[in-house]
Amino acid sequence: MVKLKATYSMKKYVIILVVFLAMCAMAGPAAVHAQDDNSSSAEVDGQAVALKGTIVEVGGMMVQVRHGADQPWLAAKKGMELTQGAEFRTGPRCYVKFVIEPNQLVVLDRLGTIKILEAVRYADMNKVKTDLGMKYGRTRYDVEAAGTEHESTIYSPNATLAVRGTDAQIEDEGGRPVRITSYHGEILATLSGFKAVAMGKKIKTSIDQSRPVPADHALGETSLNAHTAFAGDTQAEQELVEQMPNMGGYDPVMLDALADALDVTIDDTFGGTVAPENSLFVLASWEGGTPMVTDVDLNLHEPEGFNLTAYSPVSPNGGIHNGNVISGMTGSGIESALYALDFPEGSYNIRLDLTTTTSQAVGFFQVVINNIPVYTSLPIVLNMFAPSHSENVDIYKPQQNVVANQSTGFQMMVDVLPTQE
Amino acid sequence: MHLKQSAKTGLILAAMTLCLGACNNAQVALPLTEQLAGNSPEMQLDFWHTLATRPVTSNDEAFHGLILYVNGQDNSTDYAGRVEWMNSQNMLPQDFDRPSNESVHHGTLAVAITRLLDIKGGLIMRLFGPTPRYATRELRYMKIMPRVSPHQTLSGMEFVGLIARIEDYQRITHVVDSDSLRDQENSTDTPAQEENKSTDESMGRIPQAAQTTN
Repeated sequence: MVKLKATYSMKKYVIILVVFLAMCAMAGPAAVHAQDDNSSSAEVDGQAVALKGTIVEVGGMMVQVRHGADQPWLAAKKGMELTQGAEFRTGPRCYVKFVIEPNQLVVLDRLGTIKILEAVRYADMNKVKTDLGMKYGRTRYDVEAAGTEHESTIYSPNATLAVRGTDAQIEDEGGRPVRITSYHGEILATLSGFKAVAMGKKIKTSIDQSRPVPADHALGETSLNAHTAFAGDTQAEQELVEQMPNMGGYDPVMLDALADALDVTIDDTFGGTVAPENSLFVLASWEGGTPMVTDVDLNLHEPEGFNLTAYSPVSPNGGIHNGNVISGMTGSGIESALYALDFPEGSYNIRLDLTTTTSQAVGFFQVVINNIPVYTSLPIVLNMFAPSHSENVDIYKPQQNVVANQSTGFQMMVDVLPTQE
Repeated sequence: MHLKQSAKTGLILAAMTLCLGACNNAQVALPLTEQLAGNSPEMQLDFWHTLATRPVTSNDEAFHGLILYVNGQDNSTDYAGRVEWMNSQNMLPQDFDRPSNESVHHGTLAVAITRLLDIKGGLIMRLFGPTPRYATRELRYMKIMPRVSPHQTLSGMEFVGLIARIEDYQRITHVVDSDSLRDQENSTDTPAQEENKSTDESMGRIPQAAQTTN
């Protein structure tokens, strides 16, 4: 009897447990549905609350919105409420403005699409996070960060615009470089293929894929180029104009001088005037002579037989000797010969003569073709026992090869010069 | 000997055939105008945003897009009708006779755009009218077109971008031969002054041709 009573009591507990579990199972889905129905402002996960959006202005007849990828497109109307996943598209001469609470204004301009990927508020951190995806088009985003931290990002196929309380715009359309502009406030802009750039604050700044640094972009937009678009300036030439505004443009001779002075190469520049293609410069220099006395002469015996000296200073082949020079106050001096436009090829006999045998000097000579030294002699000691020194040097015109610059694709001629052995 | 010669001739013919094939313009197998040529706003939006996903724009699609942009609707039922309408507006090169499904050239579009925007151009354009070559150069100069040749074709996305660019141009009072354009030649985008106006106006006010739907 006692045993029977115990069994009955257990049965009662089991029934109560089963009923309780069934009630729980029924109550569960109802709670989930309630959450779905109220998703615009409901808790998404632990602390994140989804934000509501509202269309505040529609410009033009061709603006559509859909509330999910599987939903139909509807004509956008002022006052329509938006949730995460809402997507817009606009036609020509149309735009749409919508607000995501609390104070984020987004404007999608003509012929673009944008989607609200995520819009949530973290109540405990007083932070709002908004992610928008723009396939193409132009979108402006404006938010006043008053008391709330904003972490807003617009993604496009070629760029990412991260905003923390500012007014900024991203433009990603076919046939032109992506452009990001900050009207005021600081943004973090990332162009595809470049590092992220923090830009903006109090003034308007822009970057695009061709000028990924704000300062470069501003310089490009404010520099004046006296050449018109039809002048056919290369990109490098245009950049030179921007970077040397005080020189009023550029000139091939000036570029040459700069390249020499700074020991740099300026690629992809083509002059408006003809630059010498085959110039030969022979320089003779000495030092250690008696000031104002020691005289060293440079003599150049051409392959064709003419002897170019200070006393026969003009060659029929275009060479010019700079004339006789004696040592200056420091005991040093320079004589030179220049073939500016062309020179005969072959074996040159280059001779240094010490004409004042009462003194001595140490000199050398150098052969320069197209501004590039191709031969330099060893130090030459000239004195009364060895007043002359001569060497035969084979001098030929450079071979020019057409090569393409890897970065720009421009083709240019490059001198291939014989090297000193 | 004969065999060798035949083989050589065969190779040359094969190479020529390959070259001819390579020189052909791209063709669009199924132009959007077959399914999305309607005039309703929904159909037009479908057309623009489907076109943006296509790798190539055909003549028919480009002309339909241009007519939609200019008129707001395209009442032509076929490609011949579109060509006729474009010709009536002097928006095509004089000797234009390309098929509907062939990829459209920048030069062809450039002629239409210079007519649409009433761009007079330089001396050559004024003397001989907008030929594809000079119309393209003019639009490049005005930064409406990127650095392209008149024979280059364009993708759907590029065509949509070009239409957007035309709209930007139309939104502002644009002095064609202004120094400000030359000053901005180094920039790859719209001149700063105009770009400011364009974006500010587009964000702040309704374009003239548009109506507000509330």
